[in-house]
Amino acid sequence: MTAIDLKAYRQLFDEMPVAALLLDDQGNCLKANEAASDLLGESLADPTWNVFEADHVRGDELAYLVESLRKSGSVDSHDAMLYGPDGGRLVRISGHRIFNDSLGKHVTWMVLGDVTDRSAAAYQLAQVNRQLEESNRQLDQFASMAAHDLKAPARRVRMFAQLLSNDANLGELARGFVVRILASGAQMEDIIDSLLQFAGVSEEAGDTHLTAMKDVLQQACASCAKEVKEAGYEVHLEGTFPIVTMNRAAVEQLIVNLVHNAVKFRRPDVPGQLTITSRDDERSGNHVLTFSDNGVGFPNQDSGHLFEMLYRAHSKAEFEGNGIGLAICQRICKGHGWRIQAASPNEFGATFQITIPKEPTTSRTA
Amino acid sequence: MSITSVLIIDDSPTDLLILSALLDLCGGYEVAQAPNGSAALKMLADRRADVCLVDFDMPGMTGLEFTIEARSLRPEQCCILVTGAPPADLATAAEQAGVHTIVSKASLSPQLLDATIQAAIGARLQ
Repeated sequence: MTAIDLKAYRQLFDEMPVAALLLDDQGNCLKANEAASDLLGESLADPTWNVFEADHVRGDELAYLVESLRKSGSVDSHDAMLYGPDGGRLVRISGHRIFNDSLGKHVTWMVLGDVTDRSAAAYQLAQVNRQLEESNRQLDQFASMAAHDLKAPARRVRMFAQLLSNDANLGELARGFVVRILASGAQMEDIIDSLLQFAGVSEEAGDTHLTAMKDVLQQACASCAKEVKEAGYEVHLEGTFPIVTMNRAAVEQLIVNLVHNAVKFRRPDVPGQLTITSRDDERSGNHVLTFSDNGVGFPNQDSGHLFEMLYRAHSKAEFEGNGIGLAICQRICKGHGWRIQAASPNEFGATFQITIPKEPTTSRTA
Repeated sequence: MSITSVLIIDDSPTDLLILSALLDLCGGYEVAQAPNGSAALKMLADRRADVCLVDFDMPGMTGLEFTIEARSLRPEQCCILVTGAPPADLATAAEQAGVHTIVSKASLSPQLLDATIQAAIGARLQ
């Protein structure tokens, strides 16, 4: 090493913001930089400073490390609390014991990084995350309980209105009001059922198994068969579908909601058609499920909002609904680590695309 | 036309009123009411009921527990379970308890109630 190199290293050692110490096996401080003096709260330039004799609360962790280094030779990222005049600091220590030829004895290098602030920030972040999770859990619980408790009164309102509608003495105006109570009661029950369903869908997939997507699609379509038939609608499955890890009940719900959505937003004068296809994205290798219909579609500027809770792209006068079904779809997809997107690029028709990350165990089935 | 005796058991006075009113609209029913399973069992010890319409979710004795007790008292007793929010595994437990049919409170109408009760009585007579 040249004299210039040596000077540069000395300058680096003295001025670097990380505390560094050179100790012998007896714990005597042979050399320390300014950052080390600042961290430990006293001048380490004093050649008599010794970790074994230092103020107990400041030196014992270092003394322990010197002992450890004597046995193991090196230590990496050891976190320790050092108590100086300003209170405790969390320090991450790395050290290495080597034989120094010029001194003719073993010496230990130690580098001490003060990670107190970083650690406090990480602790605070973890704390906030915990509070957020708890808050979300309580909100879900509240939604579920509120919906459950609202269900009975809503049903009773509708039932009493139904009983009232059987009264032959009811005048025309009153009968009209009763009809409106019945419709509003049914709508309220529909919203409550959807809220209960939303609260019941976990943000995590839960009980998952490798399942053939085609089986789930067929099962979901079968459960919508009555609604589809009554609407004169047709649902086609095209292509080969993957076998993926999923919570079957949740994914069935997802598909039912998408089919229900397509049937609801059909054009009155056109035979409704929904085509469900599957393909592998060549670039990413992900599976892509696409639901394309020939319905009324939606304004393209709404595509980013469609999955928001209670968002409606069409007025209630045009189409019944509560704006919860697609929010449930997104929640189910998120729980599985899937992504759902919507587009309506043409004058008519909507396309919902579900991207399923490729798994090492997935395969395809007819 | 013969009169069918029905005992309605529900802890909600409002639901008792609704079920009674629906049976009134059907016509041909003699209705008695009980606010819980224990009171209903005492009533059944004194007089028969062709059909018990029993709520599932009641404090104390549930609709299923009532059905088991009522059928141990009178094995031919026909019980129809009415429920607002049925748990997922209710069907199996209800069958084991001897419940004839489960009816959702959300879908009740005079026609449905009448048809369900008559079907249950018809099945018992066979």
